[in-house]
Amino acid sequence: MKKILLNFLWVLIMLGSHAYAQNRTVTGTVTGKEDGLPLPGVSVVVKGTKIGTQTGANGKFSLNVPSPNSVLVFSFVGYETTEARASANLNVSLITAQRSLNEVVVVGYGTQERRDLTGSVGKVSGATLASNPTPSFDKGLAGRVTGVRVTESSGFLGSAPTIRVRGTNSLSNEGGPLYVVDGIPIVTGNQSGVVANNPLADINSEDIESIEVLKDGSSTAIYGSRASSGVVLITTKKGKTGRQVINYSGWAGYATASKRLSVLNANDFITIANEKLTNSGATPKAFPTLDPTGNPYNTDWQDVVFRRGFQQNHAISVSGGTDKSNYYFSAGFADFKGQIVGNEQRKYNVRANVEQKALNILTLGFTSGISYVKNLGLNSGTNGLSANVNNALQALPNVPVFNPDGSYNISADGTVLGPGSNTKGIDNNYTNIKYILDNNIYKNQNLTFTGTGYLDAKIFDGLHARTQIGVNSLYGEDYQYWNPIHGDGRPNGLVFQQYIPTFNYDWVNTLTYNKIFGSHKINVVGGAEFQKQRARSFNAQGTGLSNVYFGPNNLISGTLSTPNIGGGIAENAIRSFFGRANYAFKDRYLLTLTYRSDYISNLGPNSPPGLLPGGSLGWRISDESFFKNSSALKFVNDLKLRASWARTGNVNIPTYAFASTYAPATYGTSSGIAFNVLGNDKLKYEKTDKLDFGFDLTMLHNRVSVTADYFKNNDNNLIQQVAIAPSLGVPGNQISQNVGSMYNKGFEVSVTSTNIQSSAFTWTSNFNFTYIKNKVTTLYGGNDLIGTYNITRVGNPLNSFYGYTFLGVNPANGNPMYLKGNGQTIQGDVTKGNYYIYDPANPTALVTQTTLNTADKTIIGNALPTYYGGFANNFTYKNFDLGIYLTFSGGNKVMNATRQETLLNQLFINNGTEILQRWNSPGQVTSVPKLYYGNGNFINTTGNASTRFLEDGKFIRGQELSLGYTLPKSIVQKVNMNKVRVYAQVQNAFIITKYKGLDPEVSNTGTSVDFNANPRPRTFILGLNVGF
Amino acid sequence: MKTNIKKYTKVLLMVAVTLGAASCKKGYFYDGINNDPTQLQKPIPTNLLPGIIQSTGYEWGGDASRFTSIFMQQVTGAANQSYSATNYSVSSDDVDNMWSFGLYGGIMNNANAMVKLADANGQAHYAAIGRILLANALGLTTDLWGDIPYSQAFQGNANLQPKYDSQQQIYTTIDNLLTTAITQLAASENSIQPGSDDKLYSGDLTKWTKFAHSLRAKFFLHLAKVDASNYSKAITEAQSGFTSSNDDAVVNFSETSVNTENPWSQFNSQRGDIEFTGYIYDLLNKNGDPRLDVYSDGGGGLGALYGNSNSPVYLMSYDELQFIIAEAQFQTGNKQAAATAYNAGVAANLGRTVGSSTYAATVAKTSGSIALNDIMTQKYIANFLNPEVWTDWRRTGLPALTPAAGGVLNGQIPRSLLYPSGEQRYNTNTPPNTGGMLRRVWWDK
Repeated sequence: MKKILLNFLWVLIMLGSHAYAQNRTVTGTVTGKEDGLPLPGVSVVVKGTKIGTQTGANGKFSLNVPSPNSVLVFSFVGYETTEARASANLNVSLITAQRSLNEVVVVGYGTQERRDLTGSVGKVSGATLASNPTPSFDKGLAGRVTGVRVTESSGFLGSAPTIRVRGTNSLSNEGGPLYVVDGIPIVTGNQSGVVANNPLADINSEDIESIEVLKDGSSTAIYGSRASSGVVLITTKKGKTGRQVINYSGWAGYATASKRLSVLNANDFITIANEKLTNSGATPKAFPTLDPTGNPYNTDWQDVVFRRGFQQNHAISVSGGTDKSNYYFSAGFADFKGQIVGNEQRKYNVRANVEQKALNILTLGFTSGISYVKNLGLNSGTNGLSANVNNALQALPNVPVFNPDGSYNISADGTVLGPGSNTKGIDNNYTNIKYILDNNIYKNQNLTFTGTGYLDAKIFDGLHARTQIGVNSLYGEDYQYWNPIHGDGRPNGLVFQQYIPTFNYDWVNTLTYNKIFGSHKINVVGGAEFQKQRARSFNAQGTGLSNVYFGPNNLISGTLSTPNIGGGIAENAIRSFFGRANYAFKDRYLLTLTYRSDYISNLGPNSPPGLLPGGSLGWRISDESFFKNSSALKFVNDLKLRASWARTGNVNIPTYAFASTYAPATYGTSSGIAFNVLGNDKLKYEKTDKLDFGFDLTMLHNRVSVTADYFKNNDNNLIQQVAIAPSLGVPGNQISQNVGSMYNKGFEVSVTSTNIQSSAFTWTSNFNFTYIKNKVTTLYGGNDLIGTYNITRVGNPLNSFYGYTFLGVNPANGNPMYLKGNGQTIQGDVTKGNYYIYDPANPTALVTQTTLNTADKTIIGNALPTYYGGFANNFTYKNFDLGIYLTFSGGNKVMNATRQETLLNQLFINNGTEILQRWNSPGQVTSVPKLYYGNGNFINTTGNASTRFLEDGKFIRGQELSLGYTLPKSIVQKVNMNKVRVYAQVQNAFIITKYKGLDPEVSNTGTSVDFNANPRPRTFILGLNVGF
Repeated sequence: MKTNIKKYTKVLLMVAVTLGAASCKKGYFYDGINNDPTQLQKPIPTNLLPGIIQSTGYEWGGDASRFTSIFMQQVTGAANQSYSATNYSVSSDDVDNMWSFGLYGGIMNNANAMVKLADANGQAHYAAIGRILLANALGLTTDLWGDIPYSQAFQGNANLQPKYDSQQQIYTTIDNLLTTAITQLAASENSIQPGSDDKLYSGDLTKWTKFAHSLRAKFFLHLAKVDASNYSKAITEAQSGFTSSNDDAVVNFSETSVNTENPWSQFNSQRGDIEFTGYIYDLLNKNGDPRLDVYSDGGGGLGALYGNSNSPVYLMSYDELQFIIAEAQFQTGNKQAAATAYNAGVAANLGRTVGSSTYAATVAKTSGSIALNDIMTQKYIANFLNPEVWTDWRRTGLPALTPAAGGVLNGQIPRSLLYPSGEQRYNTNTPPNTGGMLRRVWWDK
């Protein structure tokens, strides 16, 4: 009886105790912290023992542990290893590894673990891109990868940013990196003749798994002759083994112009315009125009060309897989109205990626994406009479947009903006921009298909053979309509319609061998690639439109009295063989060798192939015994030193440049031929030799990782159009030759750190910084290449600014003063348009006439930034997350031609408010010279750079500020969802800069010249991420 | 072991299939990849002819006409470069385009190519036409500059620094080209014949032959200052030249597109830097010459005859040939023949400009009253806007012109153009511009 009672008590005590203590079984679920999805295959091990298990398909695990105080270690590829004290029900979230050594990095024709990498590769995960929405993913790369400079040179939705990896590699400053999507190089660059368009916008950011940027020689060399400007590898998502995942991501918001220029209001305009006229001896001609209620009109034309544009984007994806197959399907829709009136974009895209394993040795799969993008644009040129910014900054502010009767305010002869009560018409024939924006049409629509199909076979253990065919085809259509009543289309109208099909085909075959023999690890890949591209276009256009009704939609037969046709076709192909061998000894001595040979059709049938070798070394010094045994270096977890060198090429050479050709032309009713281009069959591709030294360091318990590189890229054989004597009879007198050379060198640093990590609060940051210098070392004959504002001269950076030195305004008479080449100070007489030597003792004397011309120009500034980078901080507190992302750049100047030609003009049109500081009384000290009607070109030295308008281009930009909230699991799981996050974000929130124009990055000519550029948007959005 | 062999065979098979497929596909895949579909590497003469003729007309009515007519005070430059030209300030840069896009780049390179192609294909008639157009352009170039590259020109990469042939050699070359052309035109051959592509004579070979003879006569006359025996050679040659105004070498322009618009019309509408006033207008006014109404539009602009977008440009006319005969006959003492030719020339020119030769009676001359000044003055009026007027003035000094008041050549009228800046910079064989624009070409010395 006692025994039974004792047993019963014992049972009670047992029951009373923590149930866990009796069972010592830990169960729980492991999920990913970002998306809340269960993670199968996670290794769960009792620390210090071999007792462990793995999570199942639903992320659940169950493990018997020896002690209630056991510590369990959770580890999984791509996530930070986490430890947790055992408890009965233990749910753990794993954070994605910021820069873990086990991170898998996509390299050309294969993948590598970051720990084995001897080249310089920057990676941006798809998650980072998706959480920072942009119209095209390339804009989202800004400041995220060291050495990669992304410049958005315009506020247009469809325009592509300029991307440079470690500097510019060509004298023409053209050409960006090679873009490869799932192994196939795709067509990039503007595909429209009418509206800016960017094929990279076809790719839905939500579909991107990761982007790798190959920067140095060793990593890019496998792409051989297309690699000198870097390679961007884009990998789309695949389904993951485990349960099916459904994701919805959407956001909506609006964009406004981030800055507007300050222009004169009606009253100030009247004062200034009349002063310009009276100074020149004419009578005042500007007067207030009264509306029907008797108030004077005061129009801000920037209200007409800029707006608050509503934008929305939705994407949904379904993916899943088993260990035999996986799939990923997605669909997306986007509708953006830009902050620029007339600029819109609408996108639809679908994607299907499927992979299937068969027969134990085969893997076959396909990736396919179809997208339809429609871009609407407008005339936004620098100087057009109906270009939106040029017009809005100069249109008369003292007249209305519409007449009181509702009609557009247009002059009596229909050609220009109506004069209102001014007794003089608007100068320069500016039109009523509202009419133009309402009636003219610039449209491009593009249907793109990108797809690959592949078959991978395991021949025997370690050896795989793979064949892949990729297709990238774009079917674009342009449409342009100019209304004949007013504007560019006056008087006959214009209709232009063009069809632009482009087709790119790529076939790659590779053999890959991976094997580990003891402490030797070998990875070899060799292959052959065949690629061909064909770009065609044909168009029909005409003037003499019979009725505006026939204008806006399509070309209609019989409506145009003067038709015209055009068309063209160009093809090129590359045939290549390549190989790469990676060898690792004891996991700490690493060697990579690559080799590629390319036959390029653009160089002619008899040209030799490009033979491009490369190699790199790595040393995991932290694995050495002296390092491991040193107590001083204990804080270092991993340190790898690496060095690489490779020769790569640049195939941006003029198509068919090897052949002397005759071009067609029509002569009246006959079509004929005339000599056009002198060919050079000895032309070679441009070469870049890339040298890189760097290290990768992780320390402080893997909380901080640092990657740093020193690089030097030597560009040789740069192609220049070399001038030849006219008696050779070549129109334009030039021939392409390989004569130039230049280099880019600098260093990059990227520091990623997990600053605070506790269960409630985390703070991670990433700082990256690049410093780079460019110098041109050889030009043909040592001759300078002189542009309007820039010069390329041996011993200086590409496109340095070349102009006059401005010495201020003469307080005695308001004349601008300059420094002449021989050191003299001269002043320009605004009334006569002549220069005179300045005598400080007698400042108003205009005695000795002199000149100011090219001989007085010097190099006055740098157009290329010398440093740039980004600083991202991410905070999480319980369910809230906050991200602050800054980008910065500097070391260059910007030529503010908008101030020079537009805002400070001397005609009967509007000005910027800077002109209110003009000189108008003797003794006045100011920086704006005296006004004088009609002499703007002289007073402002238009068409020439000058220190008066050259401004510092450095800035710090608040690229993205975002605040998000993830709904608690308890609420979310009640409705069968896995994760719901809402967020608010501001893009381009603020900019800190001294630059007076719209934005120091806005340079619509690629040479750091800002001339009537459109402003960048500031976007406010609310978004929702839902995972099922 | 067996499985290994199986697996290795699999490898070999795959590799073999891949490489096999690669090589077999290569031919089809890359067929024609090196040929630019938008530009020809091997043109045929029919393709080249329209462009050569059009470019010739464009140059004869373009820069070549503007500079010469400004110097000869047939027009007055009012703004920009034209204003500088009125004061005889024409730089090397100003004339660069005449070689790059006009004479060498537009006309002679293509004509040279056409001659070579036609000779190689046995197309004697095309070769002849090419030679005539080549000789014509060479003649203008050497008359304006003196020594010029020819025998070493147009060789592309093979010779980037062509040597300059002396003007004497050039004139010999011109004469050879013309005589070869005349022979070739007479030969019979059955290849494709010029037709609608011949923008000058629509394939009429007799007219081409007359043109060749007329050019030959003109070039003999140029050399008469060096060697007086050339006068009679000119007269003989002229017998086989143009027989009426129907034979005139005229390039027609149509206004259908910008590159087929009459060059004077295009210049006036785009630049408007030239005013149609000057010595010739004063002369026509003083003489009550009816041609004033067609040379001027009454408001300082160019008359419709030569100033519309579809107006023609005359390379060489029947009336010009008559004046050549008149001058040559006069210089060799046959005043009767000179007067006859003179009267015929005046009548023919009036016929093609105002449509009626009534005025001819007013200026008619007889063997007793004819003077060299009459011949040269009427030729000067007849050749309005033709570059030949400058050559005529340099040879004879007639009509007597007063140098421009603002002239920068110390009170003299220019005698040649400066070598183009492109040549000076990139061809080490370019002679220096000693004497500037007062340098005299060989036949002018």
